[in-house]
Amino acid sequence: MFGKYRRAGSILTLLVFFTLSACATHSEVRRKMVTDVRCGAYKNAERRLADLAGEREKDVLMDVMDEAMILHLEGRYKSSNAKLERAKELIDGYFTVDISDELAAIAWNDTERAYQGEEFERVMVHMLSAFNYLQMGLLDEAAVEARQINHKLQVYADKLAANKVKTSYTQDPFAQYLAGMIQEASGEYNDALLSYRDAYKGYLQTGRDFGIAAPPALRSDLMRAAMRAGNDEAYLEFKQNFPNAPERPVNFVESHGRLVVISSVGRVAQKYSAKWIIPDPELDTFVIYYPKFGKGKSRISHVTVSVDGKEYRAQPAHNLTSLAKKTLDEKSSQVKGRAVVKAIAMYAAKKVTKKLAKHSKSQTTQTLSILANIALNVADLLMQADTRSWMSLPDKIGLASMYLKPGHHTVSVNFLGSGWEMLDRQVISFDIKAGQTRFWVTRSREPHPEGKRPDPSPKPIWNKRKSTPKQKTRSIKKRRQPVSMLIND
Amino acid sequence: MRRSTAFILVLTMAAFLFAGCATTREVKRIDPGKITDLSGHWNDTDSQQVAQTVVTDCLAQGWLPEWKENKGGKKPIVIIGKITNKSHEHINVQTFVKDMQSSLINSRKVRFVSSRTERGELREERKDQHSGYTSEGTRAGVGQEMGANFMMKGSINTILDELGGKRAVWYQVNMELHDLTTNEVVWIGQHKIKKLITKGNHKW
Repeated sequence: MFGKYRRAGSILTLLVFFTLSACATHSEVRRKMVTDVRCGAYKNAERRLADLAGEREKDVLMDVMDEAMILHLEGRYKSSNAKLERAKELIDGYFTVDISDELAAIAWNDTERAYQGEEFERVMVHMLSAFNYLQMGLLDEAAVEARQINHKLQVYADKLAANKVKTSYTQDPFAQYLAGMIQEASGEYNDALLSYRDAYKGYLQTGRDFGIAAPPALRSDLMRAAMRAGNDEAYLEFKQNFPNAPERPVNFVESHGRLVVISSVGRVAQKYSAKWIIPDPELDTFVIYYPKFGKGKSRISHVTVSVDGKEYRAQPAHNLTSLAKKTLDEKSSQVKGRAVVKAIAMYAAKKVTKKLAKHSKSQTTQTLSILANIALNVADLLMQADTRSWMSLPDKIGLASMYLKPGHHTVSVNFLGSGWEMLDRQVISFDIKAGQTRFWVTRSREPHPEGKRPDPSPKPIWNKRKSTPKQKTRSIKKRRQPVSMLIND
Repeated sequence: MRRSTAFILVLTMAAFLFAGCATTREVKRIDPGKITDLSGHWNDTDSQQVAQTVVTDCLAQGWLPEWKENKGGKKPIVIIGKITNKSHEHINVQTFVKDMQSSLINSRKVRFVSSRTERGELREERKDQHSGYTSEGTRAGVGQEMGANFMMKGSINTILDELGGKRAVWYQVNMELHDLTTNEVVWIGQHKIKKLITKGNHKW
């Protein structure tokens, strides 16, 4: 009689084994896709993602966000934005709670709930879209994204206040800084001043909570925006607060072009399923699974921008890994609480079924209890934390800005390792007019562990010149740390 | 008996399968003037409504009879300048500009000239006509373009308020008419639209 159930148990164990190995293959492919993105093998990443995309309907947001990132890196900005618009629609739709999904998540796994994205990832959807518009030279459209970011953060802060939840992520100073730069470039000086001010306040908070301090250039930006907006009171206040911040007179600013280089490096930290096991004398497992962020990965330690014989150092402006870790840790009591309730329910059910199987006088009850106990153990083995995230995001983002004389320029962005060795170099040639601001969004392409050659780096579409110099992408040679390097202009 | 049961089972499965494949999309032709608010975003109805209201208001104000009186009853020539999208949405400003143009031209109270981009294209065509391939009698004359007397500029702005499943969107379109000779702002008008969008809290 019991032989049958043992056989059923073996079949279920095999099923568990196959399911787990399928999951492992799935996440392995995704990990490789992220390595390809980090190392500039974009076509390869696209192929890998095409194999994964659409496998699980509940992961559609994750797939769409990764697709958008790869398209952005391939320089297909319009297609990338189409994906990001789809991501926005999905996120908007997730406001409506799918009760059947929720029940499945409670009874089974958190991954049965559609992936809705962490708050900072939702903001990054708009940020990446703004990057695409900047690469296309569409400042007005980039400014729309900046406004959407500000609105999203406001709604998020209101929601937290209404639910009395405390979190450090109520502001995204980098997003506000970017918004300010776009507004200044569009001639909206008053709006730019407000955004720079919000960014500065935000950096004071993130400096404390996330270790992301305000880039020194923001002080000069605040003074310049106040001056251009004709707000003398604010200008004098900033001048008093930042006596050492370098300042350019308005006629200099207006007679020069400005280049802003946004440089992303590495890849953001990835989630893993952490567990907490409580031993039991009767060998029943009591396991609590919860997601945790690991470490971000990047070989790039310094980013410099060379132009007209001068070298500027990019200043750290955003640290996505630190943000991801801190915000998830802050939510962990809530996530762990849910996991504990689930683990207790599972543990109790296993105990009851085991007891019934042992002591029940009815043969049918015994049979059903054994089957239920096996099913519960299988469910326990398959249970895992929800480790889904937007894995292709960068680890950190830096900013460098400089004033250039009107005319033709060749600019290179140098991605350097810890010993100042060149790991990647991206070059463009372009013309700039007086009073014009150009944005160039770049991402490092680190040496690939499998030795794959990187694909071309994305080029801004606003740069219509055909003769972009050939890029030296893999000349890994030691450089000396530059004796003098300019902080942003 | 067994075979017939299996047959029924297969038929039922096939029916479910085809039902699953059947598309639920339906296309209906509707009156272009009918209001279709689906997502709550700025749409064709908003664009047409605002253009119509703003142009009607502009042409009803005192600057027009004053100008005509001073110019011996001539109609003023108007051009549309930059309409800036300062909203939270990616609004196709060109569609709005076209709606404004159409309202201005159809009013027959003002004359309207081509925009800077359109002028470039027209000049190219005129240049081509004078390159020797077009018969002399049918060539368009050079140096006879009309200069605009007024430029209409403006911006589309939004204010959003959102909490829970409710979102209120306030669109404000600000328009100005500038005298190109004197830089005087002769008219300022605005039109507002407010929408309330409600999302469901749950679904099964």
